[in-house]
Amino acid sequence: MTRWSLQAVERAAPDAASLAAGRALAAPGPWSETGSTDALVWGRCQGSGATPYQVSVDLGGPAYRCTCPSRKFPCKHAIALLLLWVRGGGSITDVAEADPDTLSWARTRAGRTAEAATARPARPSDPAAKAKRLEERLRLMDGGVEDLSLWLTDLVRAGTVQAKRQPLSWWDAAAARLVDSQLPGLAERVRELGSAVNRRDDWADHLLGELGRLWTAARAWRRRHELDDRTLADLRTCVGWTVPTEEVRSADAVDDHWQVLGAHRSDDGRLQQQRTWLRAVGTGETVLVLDFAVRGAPLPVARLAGSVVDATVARYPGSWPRRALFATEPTLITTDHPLPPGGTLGQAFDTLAAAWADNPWAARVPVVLSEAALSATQVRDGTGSTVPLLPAEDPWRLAALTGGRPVTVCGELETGGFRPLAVDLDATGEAR
Amino acid sequence: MTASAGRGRSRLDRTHWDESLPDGRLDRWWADLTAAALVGTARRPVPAPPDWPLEARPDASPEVALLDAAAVGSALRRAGAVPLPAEADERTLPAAPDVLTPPPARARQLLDLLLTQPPVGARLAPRAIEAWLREAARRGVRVHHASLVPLLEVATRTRELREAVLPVLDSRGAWLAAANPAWHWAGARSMPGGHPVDRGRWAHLPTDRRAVQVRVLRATDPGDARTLVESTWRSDPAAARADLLGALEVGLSLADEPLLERALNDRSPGVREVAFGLLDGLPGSARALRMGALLAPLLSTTGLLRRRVHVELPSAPSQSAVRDGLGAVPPGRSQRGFWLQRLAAGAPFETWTRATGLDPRVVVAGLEDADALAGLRAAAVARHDATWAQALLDRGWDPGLVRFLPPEEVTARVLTRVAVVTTAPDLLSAIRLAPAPWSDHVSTTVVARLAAVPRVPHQLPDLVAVLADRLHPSAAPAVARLAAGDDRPEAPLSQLAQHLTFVPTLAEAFS
Repeated sequence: MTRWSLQAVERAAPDAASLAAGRALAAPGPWSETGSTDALVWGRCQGSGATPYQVSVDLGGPAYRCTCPSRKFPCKHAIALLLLWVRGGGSITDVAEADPDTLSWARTRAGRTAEAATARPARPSDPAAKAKRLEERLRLMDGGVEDLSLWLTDLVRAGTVQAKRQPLSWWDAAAARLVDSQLPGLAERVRELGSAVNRRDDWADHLLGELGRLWTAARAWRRRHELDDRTLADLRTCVGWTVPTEEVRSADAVDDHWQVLGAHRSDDGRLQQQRTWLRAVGTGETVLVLDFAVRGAPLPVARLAGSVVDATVARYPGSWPRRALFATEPTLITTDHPLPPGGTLGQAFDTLAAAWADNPWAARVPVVLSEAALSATQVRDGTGSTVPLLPAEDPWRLAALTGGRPVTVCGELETGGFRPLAVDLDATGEAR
Repeated sequence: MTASAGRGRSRLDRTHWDESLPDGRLDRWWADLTAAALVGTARRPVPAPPDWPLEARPDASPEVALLDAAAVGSALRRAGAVPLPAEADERTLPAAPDVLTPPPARARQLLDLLLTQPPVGARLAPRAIEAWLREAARRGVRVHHASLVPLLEVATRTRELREAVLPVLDSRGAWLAAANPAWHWAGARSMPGGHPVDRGRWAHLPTDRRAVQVRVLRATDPGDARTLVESTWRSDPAAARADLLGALEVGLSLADEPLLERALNDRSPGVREVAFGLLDGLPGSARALRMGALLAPLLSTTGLLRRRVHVELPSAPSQSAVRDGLGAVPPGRSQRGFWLQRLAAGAPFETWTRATGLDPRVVVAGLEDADALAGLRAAAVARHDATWAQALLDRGWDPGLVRFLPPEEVTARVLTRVAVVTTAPDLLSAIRLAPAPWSDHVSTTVVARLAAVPRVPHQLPDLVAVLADRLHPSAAPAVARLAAGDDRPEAPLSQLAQHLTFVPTLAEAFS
């Protein structure tokens, strides 16, 4: 194996901070029992603890191992070791025989990789252990739901005015208990409720409605054995029990041409979310592709509204509009497909009410409005009905493109209003 | 949908709901429920629901009954919401059709590039955008709709772009700008003066606001503006009188003389000083004649050719002369010298030509007295007089006088000055005055001089901003050679060179 370049080591670092920390450690001082062969580099690094960390790098993978507790991968010790090694300078000597411990790690690793490559799908899992894990999880969740029910009854006994006086930390504590009970979806609702109560003028009305929806979820969870599969899936989404992507991928996939109706990005300070609405050109079904990225990490590039892609899309279980993911890499067919025919705002509200009838926890539905006039603050349809616009990244762009003239608009309808995502445009970028 | 907001509806049993819950009952019950929830079920009973098609749990505790009711009630209210009918007068009208031509594709791409990633660097981006806007306006082309928002945002931040933005906004842009308070500078074109004057509250407005309003009003109705100033003259404090009187410099005419004569009697020296300055600009005024009468006897010609102008210093002034400005002298000045300067600034120019029989150029050339020259300069500035400005400039460079010359003479004067400047700031103060766009010759001369003066880095950005607007594209190679010494991409001169090569491509993009 040829010696790596310095750039290769720098590329291997997970972030700039790890690289800087690795550079600081890349001095002979803290290192002992170092060595390298063609394929392996190893050494011990004295950290803050009594026992030095044992660091091994398999140059072929490359693969890294370190006994430090860092979650960065590779950690600063592995980077420092590689930096020392590429610099030469004699601090790491080439030897014929690898360190036995590192060698056995590398051999096991290579074996595992080969195994995974030959027999990937048939990874035998222990059904008994799996059932036990599931039972454990359900027990935790049951406890969390009971805890939430008690919290809700205590809240309404003392009165919502008392809850309004509570600091944000009170809401966060309740949310944290739900997270511990593996109910992150409910936790998010409680946390968001705490901030809405502090922020909104109509907090009393909003709080009572949200308490009703949380209560609905808690009661439904107790009776989950009586629910049909679809409603159970909606409830799972609501409490935040996600279906593993492998399971989604292998079930309920449809091959079609998918038109991108529109996309929206949101950022709540911790998590960025990108919602992409797709419509099957063949069947007309609308699905939602969700992408997440923690703060600072890049989201996938938003797909261009109006484009059509050929892809197999696998759908999550649940009521319309269903979440979905791309099971195959989409290939672009066209970039300029007109929006499907739309309806009035009244029909859009009917669509939203119908979605709630199926799934009381649904947040929003995609709708296409025809003859809709956009300003920066509201949308008006051909019958003269209006709905306020939800805060958007740039409310003026669509107003500029349409000039307040009636066009076909696609967007999201929620309790608070309408969020326009795309309008029908001709190829020159001016509205039709 | 015809039901009003809040009316209960359910897909499960729509007919039943419509009959059993007439308008308003659900809302009233929900309001009662919210009130009970506010104080808590420990203190207030849960209100009885309207005729539910579902039976409430008989064994439920008050807390459970309230949460049950909240669950059903919120579902009903949400599902029953309908869009609001638009108020008739609230209907915003759509934008009128555009009248200008949309930009060709190349020009569109170019503007998008300038607005997002300007190839000329951030400092010169406004200059390049302005060049695009002017080229578009020249060809009767508008801005494409997709770029209206970023353009309005840039011009809101960068004030000097606004004037160039207005002609290319077209109907769509004006409609958009009118809808956003931040862009009112572009939407409210019909009101150049801003808000109309509120005469009822005039006396109570802050002085600086009143002074601005007077200046604005002077441009259209000078008499009305003066009446406004006179209306509070008795009650205004001295500082306000001075500021408001000073605002009359816009549209100054002999019609203002009575008020100015009144101000000469003002007990405040500050107000009197403003009046002197304004009357200096009115050579036809009675005060100018009085000053001329005092100056004329002091002037004579000497020398073999009678081309040297001799000025006597004035002697102790009369009461009337003190009122006209020959009063207290600033510390450190020669008393009689100061009075001479005042006389020279206030007297009509004819006093000089008549008393000496010489034309203005010869008068100024033959005059040695510094106080008299300073007075003449003040008079030329106050009266915007090109002839005397010209004569005074023959004696030496004075940026304050150049602007009163006709454009072609300005360029000639600037080039003369450019040939002798030795620092970048001096070069800047000179070339600023030369009207744009510059010819090939002017551009070459300026760049050659720029090559000869020391180029201190922090002095370059301002200079480069002016050069970017005015240099002829043919100067690009010379600027590039100058920039070659400094290869940082953000170096001002490199950016200038890029800008100059960029501007000619604009015209191609539009054709």
